[in-house]
This record gives sequence, C-alpha cells and structure tokens, in this order.
Amino acid sequence: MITVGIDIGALTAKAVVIMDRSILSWAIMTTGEEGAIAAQKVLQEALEKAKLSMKEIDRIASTGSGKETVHFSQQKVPEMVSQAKGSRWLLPTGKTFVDIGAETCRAIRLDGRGKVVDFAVNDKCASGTGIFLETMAKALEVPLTEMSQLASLSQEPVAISSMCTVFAESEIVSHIHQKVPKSDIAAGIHQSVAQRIMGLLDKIGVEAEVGMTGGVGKNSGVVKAIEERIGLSILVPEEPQIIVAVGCALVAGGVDS
Amino acid sequence: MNFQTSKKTVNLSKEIWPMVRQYYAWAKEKQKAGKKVVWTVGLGPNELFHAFGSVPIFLEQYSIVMAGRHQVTKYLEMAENLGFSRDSCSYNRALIGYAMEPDGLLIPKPDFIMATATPCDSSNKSFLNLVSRLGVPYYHLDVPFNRMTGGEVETHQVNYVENQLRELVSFLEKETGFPLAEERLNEVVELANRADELWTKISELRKAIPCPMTVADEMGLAYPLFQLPGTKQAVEFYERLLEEVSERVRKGEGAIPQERYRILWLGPAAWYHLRVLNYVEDYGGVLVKSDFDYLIRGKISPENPLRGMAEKTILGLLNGVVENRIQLARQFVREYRINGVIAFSHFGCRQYGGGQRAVKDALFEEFGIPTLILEGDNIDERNYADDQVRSRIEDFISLMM
Repeated sequence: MITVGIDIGALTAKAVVIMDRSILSWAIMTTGEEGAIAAQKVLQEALEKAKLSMKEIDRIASTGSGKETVHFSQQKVPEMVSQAKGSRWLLPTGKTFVDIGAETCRAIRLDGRGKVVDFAVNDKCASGTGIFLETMAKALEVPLTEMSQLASLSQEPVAISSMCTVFAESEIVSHIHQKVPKSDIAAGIHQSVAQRIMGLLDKIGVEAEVGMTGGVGKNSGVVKAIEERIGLSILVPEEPQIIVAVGCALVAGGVDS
Repeated sequence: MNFQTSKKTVNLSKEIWPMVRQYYAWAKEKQKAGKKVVWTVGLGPNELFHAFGSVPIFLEQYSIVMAGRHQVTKYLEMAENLGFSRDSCSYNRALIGYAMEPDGLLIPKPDFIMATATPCDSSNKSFLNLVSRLGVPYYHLDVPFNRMTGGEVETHQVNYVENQLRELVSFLEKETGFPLAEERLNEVVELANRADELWTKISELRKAIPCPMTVADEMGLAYPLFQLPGTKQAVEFYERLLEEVSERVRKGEGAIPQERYRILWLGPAAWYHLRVLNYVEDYGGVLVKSDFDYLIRGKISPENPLRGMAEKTILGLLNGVVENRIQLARQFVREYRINGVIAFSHFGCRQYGGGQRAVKDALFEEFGIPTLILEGDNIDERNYADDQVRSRIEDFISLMM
C-alpha cells in the first residue's frame, strides 16, 4: 500500500510518500500564503521523486495547522497523532518526544504501546520555536545554519530572556553593543530555547529514550542545550522536519506502529 | 475573529437571555418604585436580598452578559487607562470601568454594594475602587478559608460568618428602612432549597447516555441558581427544565448522534465565544457536566436560615482546600462516566487556576484519564486565539483516541 502524508506547517509544507513502513520519497517547501497551493506543489515534487503518479497512490492524509486547506486529502489527522505515530516509527522504544516547528513546540510522552499519555504545547508565544531562532539569527546577523557552529565556540554563554521574542531581540542588540562575543550570544540563544522547552518537558516528565523532530532539530546547538539539561542524549533523525508527515502517512495506511 | 455563541441542546436555554434582560429592566423599574438595588460581587447570600425585597445584581454575571454581547472591552480599556494592568483579572477591571460610567449600563446604579471574599479573595480590595467612585454604602462579607473536607465546616468559622450576616441584616434594615420579616425569610429559604433540589435532580438525569443536557446549556441555565435563589421564578423555571430534560432522557435524545467521549468541564468558559463548548462535538465528544454550579450550592437549614446561609457560603467550591475540588471531580468522573477533563484557566485567576494541576494529577492517578488545562480569559476577548484553542482541543481528544 502506498500512502502520502502532507504536513502543512506555519512556515513549510512537507510531503512524504510511504510504502508499508518505508519512505519512498519526500519534499519540503515554503508554505507561502496559500496552504492549498503549497500542498499541491509539495505533493507533486514528492511524487516526481518517487517516479509515481497520483493513480498509484492508495490514500492521502493531511496534518499540521493547515491540514484543512488540503482539499484533496482523504483524511485529516490531528497533528499530535501524526507526531506520536512518526516519533514511534523513528524510535520504537522512545518515551519522550519534542517537536519544534516554526511556531509550535510540543512535548509528548508515550506509553509502551505508543499511546500519548501526556503532552504540553507552547502558548501564545513564539519563544522556544523556529521563528524565535530565525529572528535571533537575524538580529545577530549570522545565517541560521551557522548558529550551532558559532555557539560551539562559546566560552561563557550570556543569559537571554525566554519570555518574549521582541524583548529577546532587543537584548541581543544590546549585547552586541556591549561587544559580547557573538559565540556567547548564540550559545545564550540556544540556552533560552532549551529553557523554554524544559518548561514543557517538566510538565509532562522526561522518560528515556528521548527523540526530537521538527525543523529546529537541525540546530545541534539547541539539541545539545536540551541534552545537558535533561542529562540524556536525544535522538534526532537525519531529516527531522518530515517526521510528522511520516506519521500522517502511516495513519493513512492504517499501519500499526 | 468570528465570535459565536454555543449550540444548545435544551430548548429552555433560549429563555435565559430574555430572562436576564427582563430582570435588568425589572430592576430599573423597581428602583424607580423605591426598592433598593444592591450590586454584589462574589458569591454570598443573595437569598437575603430577595427576602428584603431589594434587588441584587450579581456583577460578575453582568460582565458575562456584557462579554457575550461584545461590549465589555470598552470598560476594560477604561480601567487600563487608569493604570490597571492587562495581566490583572478582567472581571475586576470591568467593575472599575462600570463605576466610571454607571449611567450607560443595562443595569441600574447601586443604592449600596456588598462584596464577599469568595470565590475571589481580592474582591475586598478591587471593590474599594468601585465603592469610592460611586460613593454608596458598602458591606464586605469576610468569608474564612475552609480548611475542612467532605462537606464539613468549622463551628467557629460558621459563627464568624453568621455574626456578619446578622450585621448585614442590620445594615439592610437601615438601608431599606424595613425590618427583616422572618416569614418572608423562611419562604425565600424554602424556595432557594427547592430550586437547588430541582437542579440536583436535573444534574442526576445528565448521567444518562447519551447526555440530554450539555455544558453549553448548563452555563446559561445555571443563571437562576446564582442570580435568583429564593425566588418563585427560579423554582418554576427549574420545574420546567426538569420536565424537558426528563423527556429527552426518555426519548434517548443526546447532543450528537454518537457519543464517543464524555468530558467533564472544570471552571467557567470564554463567555464571548461559547462555541468553544461545542468544539469537542466535532470529534464525537460531549461536555456532560461542569463544576461551575458548585461555586455556590447546597441547602440552607430552614431552622436557622442565617446560619445555613453562612454554611452554604463557606462551602463554596473555590473557598477552601483543593482536596474538595479533587473529591468533586472524582465523584463526577465516576458518576458521569467521564473519559477526559477540560479545565478552563482564567488569566489572572488565583482560585481556579491554582490547584488545577493537583486535580489533573489526582484524576490521572486514579482513573488514568487526561486533563487539558486550557488557558484563556473569561471576558476579555482581545487575547483569544481560536486556532490555538482548536488545536489544543484536538490534541486533547487525540489522547483519548
């Protein structure tokens, strides 16, 4: 059975084509203004990569904050269900998973059968999310992709507020004016995100093993900062951004993980 | 944002808003005819005011009405312009706004004011601003924190409140110019007890599957319980409600075709967008019961009405140790066969918000059921983000799938 999971997030649209439990292809692109158009395009790209036509797809499901905009999907899957399913597929023995996307961060705890027993999500605040990191990278005038490398050189990370993106941005500007090394500021930014994520993890309780998904998973500085705080290593897949879409495709296929 | 009211299950729900509007109009007429209007804040012995023939206006309930009509923001902003923080409780800010422009309200201006220390222990302070602006006589009923569980009350606490109620009677005698007629008081207590009894019977019927009356109905239908205790109107209304709900149970009529998840709602709601109370229905969930009515419930001893009122006030759900809230939630989960709980946490509220985690943990430990703590504001619609609320509720339902 070939299924597709489409995850329409706040910033990016992801499509994953799955046969049984294996990924055939995937695609990622910016969501833009129209979730419906992004969904079409990202699906098209994923199908082309897999050399498949629409006819060969058995079922399509959508998830994420824009799941309703995917008119052609046959099933709308709650984001947390997709996250849980994808996380379990990624790390079958994992109990605690964090997904940090552009605007949402969600921590979930699974029981032995992969059922979500508790969760916590960020509320009305972008700090601790991908948008937060992106804004801070801009303020620091460093490409987002170089932030982790820069932070690894830090001798003494500075404290950055984890309460408000706008305030955090002005804090960074003031650190720059005070000639604080950029590496220390970058490390401080990662600490700030980690602190925010800890707020969620503390609510649900951390149990080994731990996995991380979502675009921010690509930032090794953030991952390391969280690892230090929980005292456990975190498994991050090669492409963390597509895991929710993978879960969605698994749900569409009725695959029991 | 397209704010919407909730979808109701029970026909009588349609009568609540006309009833509220009539009461306010009636209050204005009564005042013209020489009766005294008392603004009350917090939950106290409204029965006593009805016994005196004066007209109580439960001010938080007025804020609920104003929020439902999307007219409360103006008053919130007036208070904020004075320097009151947007992080403070919106109910308190609204009160201050009302006092700044009391002529433009749907309710008459007060002849005197009474506040209680329950459920909000801050009302004695927030109310002083209102009192000094309006310059009317004021009585503050200090209700001590109930340390007991299982419906018990400490004698010295009851004595303390009872003494204050005697003082309040003297206050009312002075303000209204009439002595308290004992017969009338007994009659009021009997009517209040009758309404409470009927409400208990209606609540019992809601244990049926499918649930004949949801929380979307309950939020409005509890109005007479708060505003009209001790009146014939409340009793007659609940008699008709009992009839309608019984009929629905007989016919097996529920809120949605197939009830998959029975959900308990803790706390009040976002009054400007009550449609939230229907969101779970998209996933086969039904809000079968809330604990909102327990803010002030129970019978008043007819032998000693003032002492009975003192006990009832002390036993208010939010006035005491969190163990009482846990006990009540446990009882609801068992009796109403609950699969999950949504606890609404009002911004700036130290009463409902505090302790919700303890309730959540206790319910998970005993029944393994999830609780969603949904943060939001009861009346300030400016902070509402519908997408987030929908997504939280969807996540929560996912836990039960």
